[in-house]
Amino acid sequence: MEQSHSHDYQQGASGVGADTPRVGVYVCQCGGNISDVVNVDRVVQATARVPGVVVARQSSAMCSQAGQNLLIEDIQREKLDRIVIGACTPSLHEHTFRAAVARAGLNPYLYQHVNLREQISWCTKSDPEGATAKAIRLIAAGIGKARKLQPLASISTKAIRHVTVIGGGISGLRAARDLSRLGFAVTLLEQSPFLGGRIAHWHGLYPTETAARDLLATLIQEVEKDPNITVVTRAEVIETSGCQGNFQLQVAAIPRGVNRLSAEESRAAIKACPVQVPSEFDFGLTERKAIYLPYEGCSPAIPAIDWKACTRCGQCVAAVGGKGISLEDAEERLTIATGAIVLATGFDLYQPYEGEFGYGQHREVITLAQLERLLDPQGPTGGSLEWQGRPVRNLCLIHCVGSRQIEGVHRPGPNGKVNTHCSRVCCTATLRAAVEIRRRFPEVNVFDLHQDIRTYGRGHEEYYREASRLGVIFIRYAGEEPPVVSASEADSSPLVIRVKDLLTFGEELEIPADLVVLATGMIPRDIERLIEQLKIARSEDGFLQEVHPKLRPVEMAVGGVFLAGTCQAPMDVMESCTGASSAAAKAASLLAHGTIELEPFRAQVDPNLCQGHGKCVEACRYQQAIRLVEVEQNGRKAMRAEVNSALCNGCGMCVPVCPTGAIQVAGWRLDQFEAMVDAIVAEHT
Amino acid sequence: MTEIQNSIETDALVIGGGIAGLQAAIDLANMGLRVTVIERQPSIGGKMIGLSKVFPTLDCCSCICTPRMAEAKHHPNITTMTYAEVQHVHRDDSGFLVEVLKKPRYVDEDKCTGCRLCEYACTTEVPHEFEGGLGARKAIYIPFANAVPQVALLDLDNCLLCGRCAKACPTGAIDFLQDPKTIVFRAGAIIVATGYEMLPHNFKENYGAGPLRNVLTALQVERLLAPHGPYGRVLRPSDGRVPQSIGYVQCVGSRDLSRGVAYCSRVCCMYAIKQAMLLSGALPLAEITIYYMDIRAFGKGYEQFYQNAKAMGIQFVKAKVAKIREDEEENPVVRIELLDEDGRVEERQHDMVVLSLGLVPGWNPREAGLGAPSEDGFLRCGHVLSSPTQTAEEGVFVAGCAGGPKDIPDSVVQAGAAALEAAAYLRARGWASAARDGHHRKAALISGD
Amino acid sequence: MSQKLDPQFHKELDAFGCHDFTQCMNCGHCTAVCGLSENKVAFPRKIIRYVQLGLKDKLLKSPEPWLCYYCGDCSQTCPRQANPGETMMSVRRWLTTQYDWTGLARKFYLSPLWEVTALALVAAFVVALFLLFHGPIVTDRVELNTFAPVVWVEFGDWVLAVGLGSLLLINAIRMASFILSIERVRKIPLTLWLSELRTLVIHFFTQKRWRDCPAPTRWWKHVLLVSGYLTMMLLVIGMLRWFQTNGSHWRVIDLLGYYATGVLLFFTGEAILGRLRRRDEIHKYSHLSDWTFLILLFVTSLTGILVHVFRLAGLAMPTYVTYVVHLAVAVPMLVVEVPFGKWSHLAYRPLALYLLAIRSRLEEAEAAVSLTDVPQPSPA
Repeated sequence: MEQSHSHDYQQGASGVGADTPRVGVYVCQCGGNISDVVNVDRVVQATARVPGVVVARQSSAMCSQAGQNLLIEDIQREKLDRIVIGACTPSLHEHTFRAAVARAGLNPYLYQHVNLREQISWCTKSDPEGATAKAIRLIAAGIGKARKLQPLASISTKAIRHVTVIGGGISGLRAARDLSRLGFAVTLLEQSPFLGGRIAHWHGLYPTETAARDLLATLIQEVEKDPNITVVTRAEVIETSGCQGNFQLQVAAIPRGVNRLSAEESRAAIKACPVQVPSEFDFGLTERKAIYLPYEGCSPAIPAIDWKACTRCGQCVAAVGGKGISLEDAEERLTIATGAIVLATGFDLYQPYEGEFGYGQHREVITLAQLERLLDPQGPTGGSLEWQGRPVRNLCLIHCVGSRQIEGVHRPGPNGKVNTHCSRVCCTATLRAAVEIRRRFPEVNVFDLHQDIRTYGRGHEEYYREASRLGVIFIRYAGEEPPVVSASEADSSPLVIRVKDLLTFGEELEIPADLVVLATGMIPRDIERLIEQLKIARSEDGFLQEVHPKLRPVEMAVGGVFLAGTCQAPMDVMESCTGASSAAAKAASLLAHGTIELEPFRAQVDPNLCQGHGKCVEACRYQQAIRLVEVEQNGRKAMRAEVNSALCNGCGMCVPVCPTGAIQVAGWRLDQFEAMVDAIVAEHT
Repeated sequence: MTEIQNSIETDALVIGGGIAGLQAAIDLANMGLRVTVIERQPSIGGKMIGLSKVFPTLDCCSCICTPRMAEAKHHPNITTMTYAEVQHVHRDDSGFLVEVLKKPRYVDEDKCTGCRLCEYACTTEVPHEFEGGLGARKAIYIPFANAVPQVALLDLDNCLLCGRCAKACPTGAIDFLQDPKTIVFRAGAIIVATGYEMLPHNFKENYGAGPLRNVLTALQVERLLAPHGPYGRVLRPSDGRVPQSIGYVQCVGSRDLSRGVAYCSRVCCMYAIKQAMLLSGALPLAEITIYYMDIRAFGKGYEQFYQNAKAMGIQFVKAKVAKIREDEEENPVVRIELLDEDGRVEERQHDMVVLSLGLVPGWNPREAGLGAPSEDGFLRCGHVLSSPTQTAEEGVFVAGCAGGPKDIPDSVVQAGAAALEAAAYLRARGWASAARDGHHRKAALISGD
Repeated sequence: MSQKLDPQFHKELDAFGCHDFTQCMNCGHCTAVCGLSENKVAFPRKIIRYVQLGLKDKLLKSPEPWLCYYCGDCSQTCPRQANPGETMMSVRRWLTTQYDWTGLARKFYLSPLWEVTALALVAAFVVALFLLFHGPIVTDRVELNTFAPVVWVEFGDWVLAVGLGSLLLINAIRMASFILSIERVRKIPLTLWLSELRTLVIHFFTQKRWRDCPAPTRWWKHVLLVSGYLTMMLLVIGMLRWFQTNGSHWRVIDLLGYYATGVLLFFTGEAILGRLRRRDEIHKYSHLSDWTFLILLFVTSLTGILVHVFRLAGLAMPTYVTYVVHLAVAVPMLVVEVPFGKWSHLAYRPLALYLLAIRSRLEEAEAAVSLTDVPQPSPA
């Protein structure tokens, strides 16, 4: 008997019996959590008098097996077709009770949950009388809504076992590899011609002192060998449609201009190129050609042509005998059908404005990224710490450049805002550099100007201690009074830094400097096009906004879109990899079962009321969840709103803007709300 | 060998049912794997369920933690076992054999409905561990209001064996004769999510060893601030007065080589700021001072949270408290150097002082034969940068504070990563137990499409 | 005025035994844990900070190093184990060399060769004096006053006392000019100097601030040691003509000598053992100057009592030889250690408190002046 009923609700046909709904109401004592404050007896008595209520009971714990059995028996014996349970928060047990209702053969959406614990007993401890009255009203409201409930069917959508990872840095590579390891096909899209992203610049990574390019090479090798992963470089997503489980991405890929060249031919082609532009890889410390490889051992190991810089002079083509290089730069279009999208678009480094701590004014002021290049044995100076041809004796590191900015003290960026966030990685990265300098160049005095030293992670505090041990001099400045860098009148060092040191009782110190290094922070990347296409949100600080930092930390509000690495917030390599793996886990969970089950609380359009104003389309926050389509109505063509249930999140933004009241959210219809309000304001005894 | 024949098969075994363990279990279960969660305490939820609100969003902790607890409890692919401890982990060709000791609750878990009648009947009251000793519980009790499972637990050490509870129980669930049971699980992978413990109250001798009554630990203050905490409001323990001046002492036992804890505990700055904010909400007239070495507000939105706290009037004083003594009225007095001013030494009296104690590992994996931990006591990791959740032991992964102090977002993210690593590991090893009897499995991810 | 840093300065201090201060992260725990730090006279972090930055002038101006009695609490509880106590000790050594205008102190502290050579030269000088000018050697009975006529020795004592005292005084004046600044020293009225003299005297004899340190037994020990030392000084400088005697008879005055020698032997012996064991915080780190100070004092006391024993035993030659050895140890010790070495702390410690008291009186006066400078609102 039970079996035959159990799946009927799926079709939405059964579950509603006679014209007048037969309501069963259960008030849970929650083991005293509710009944200690709320007089449950009185609530049950009052509820039993409400029209339509067939059964009104209480239970010490409705969620217990005993409570659920009671519910199932009642539904079957009393032919109940609407259930109201007053208990704890719905987030805890709504699913439990829905499942029980379904087991009894009723459509699970004919069930209404009322929160008597968090909303009444816990917050109204001192007023049991008021709490009881409130409980009676809230239960009555629940009954009012329950009487208007209609059977609903959950929405099932197909899930493609393919994931697109956008961004070929460490996070993107990690996520792609992880998904492939679980058997998913992956397309990895990288905007630049080379894989690896940011970390290739750094020759030593904290806390293990691993060479970043070694770490990267291992991972890239795994990715390149992986048959499940397709890498597309110089790719950009230009159009997105579809929804979780089934996205369609239009991707524009720009050719790299070079197909196949031997290492020798590559060298010849690069040598032949007459164009010189600043090298991004060395942060402008060196120059590269228009046809280039950013660094030895990069991947793919095939040069790419920088189309913006290239003059199409053809000298590189000539140098390799006309083979393997094509100066055709017409972009290709790809269409990718994918189940989920992992965003691993990374960060940008804060660019100091001219004059910020002397940057751009004095040649001796550089960024931490540039210092990393100087320290790199394979870097532009071969690892020697020289600047402008003179040895560095006094080196000064300034923390929090472009981070922890204060309104009114710091100059706002191009977006009109200051960067109030902490960039998380700079403290340890700076101290790592300081330790390296003191070890390799003990004759160099290192000064570290900070606000707080934030070496929070495992193995980070060790850098701070080691830097101290090696004699790095720490100076603490107040955010409101940042250090001032100016030219020195003395001959010994070209610059002098004046700073009020909070560790020396506020005394102003004068620090000589041959090199000033600004630990520039991480800022959100300009990925406006992607944000617009996917209708995803940024946080206050401009980084991408997860649904909830603790409940769903790597998911975006848009279903099927996940976050990996520094597009979400500043983080280090280890944290980026962790985030990427976590995002991969979430994408795998979503797509593992071939279909995706969604709750039925979606917007519905009444085609008879819709006049095709399109206000709902404007109000909708989700890409293509509502659109206007042309329909034939009574022989006339008209525009009517249509909801894509898989894309709709049931947020209800469309409901109030509809001038004709044609759009409603299933399960939360206006008449249901009205019934609740009526019940709350009605007289209760 | 009989034990091994009777082993229960599971794809992954998660040690620890705190937020990290639960999240890892849920992620694995959602990928279609069967997971068993072993929790030492009588309820899942770990340390998080005992907290008041969480930084930087100030969400109610119950509101975030209970859905995860319920989800894990009701997930068809997850089995949770509370009040059980992993005794030993053996490794064989196919995976792990994990011996678990199920401690006796003296209450039949299947029969108990959580009605609490036994608790009401019991006449013995003892300090409640969950409330940091500030409240009382009975000798038989539901661990706490939103415990999962809602099953009573008899504390035999404090029980008078009067039998009142057994008489009061409507389902006859109380069983004084329960024995500990050893259960053996066969698992393909293990996730260690054993979390942290806070350093003991009297860790720093100059902070009043033999604790001063109005010097509380941060976890105790979490309970004071919780919506259903021991006093229902914030009072100081010695005389029940509403504290008007509260001092936070940071880095108690962290970053302190003199006490052997060299590392930063990572969460104390933020929880102190959060508590200060909540306290200034609950006690609008109270003056709150945080004595800190460095404010490490490094996470997403943390710095802004810190700046907001400053704007709210919470005092941040850069100073390392060296001594705490009590005056005649049991007010704690802290002695500090005012670093940001002229460096003078001051004694400052507060109504209540809170120690931001550091975190130490909750479990030593060596006890179960899982290899020695790292020097800091936390789990040793194999590939720190690229696969941070892999431990030095093959097939064993780490989530949350078992691998070093971590805040909740970082723990949750890491739990997802650990789940992924475990799933990928099982798949690579061709672990196929699940395919043999996957009742609830909609798709067997591990065995392929 | 902004301060210019000298990052190389620590190298100079390194030689004085100051090693771990770079580990200091300026948390201020040491200063707050120190029972002697109070209000604005707060240390040791301040001193460590000046050392870290190489603010030499600030260090010279600081009386704080002399206020520390090295109980070791700061070092034991230091979160970075940066050894603040030993840094204070090292700075005291360095300051001693800075107060000394001759530059000899510096040589002695930094070079064992210099120190040993100086000690040896003075010892040789003493021995040479005796070889050349000793009185008749009477061997059938002990005639110490004949061998070393007491007036001559007494004269030598006074020469030494005045000479060393003057050297120390000059150093003390230099110390005052650093701590109070030269301009101020000139302007300070005599009455102010005199009014705080009490501080100087009380602290010279009692070191009573030390009682606020956590281990009061160390203060007691030191007081006893000082009492023994002063008693001995009294006996050999002021009362030598009664103290140094012929014959093998025992006198009441010897009781004082027993007391002084007993105390000196016991506590220097204990300190030597402590430094060998390195168990207590204060005894963990030993600089050459600590060893010479203790060993010379110990040997001086030992030879002193031996002279007495031999005299009582009627052993004439051993008495005379030991007497020469005794002076050949004691005189170099005094010459090298009192103005140039560790013993100068007997002057610098009370002086630092005295100068501090004067400085705070001056600052009060200056603050009062600057207050009256503020234009008063007119009564209308």
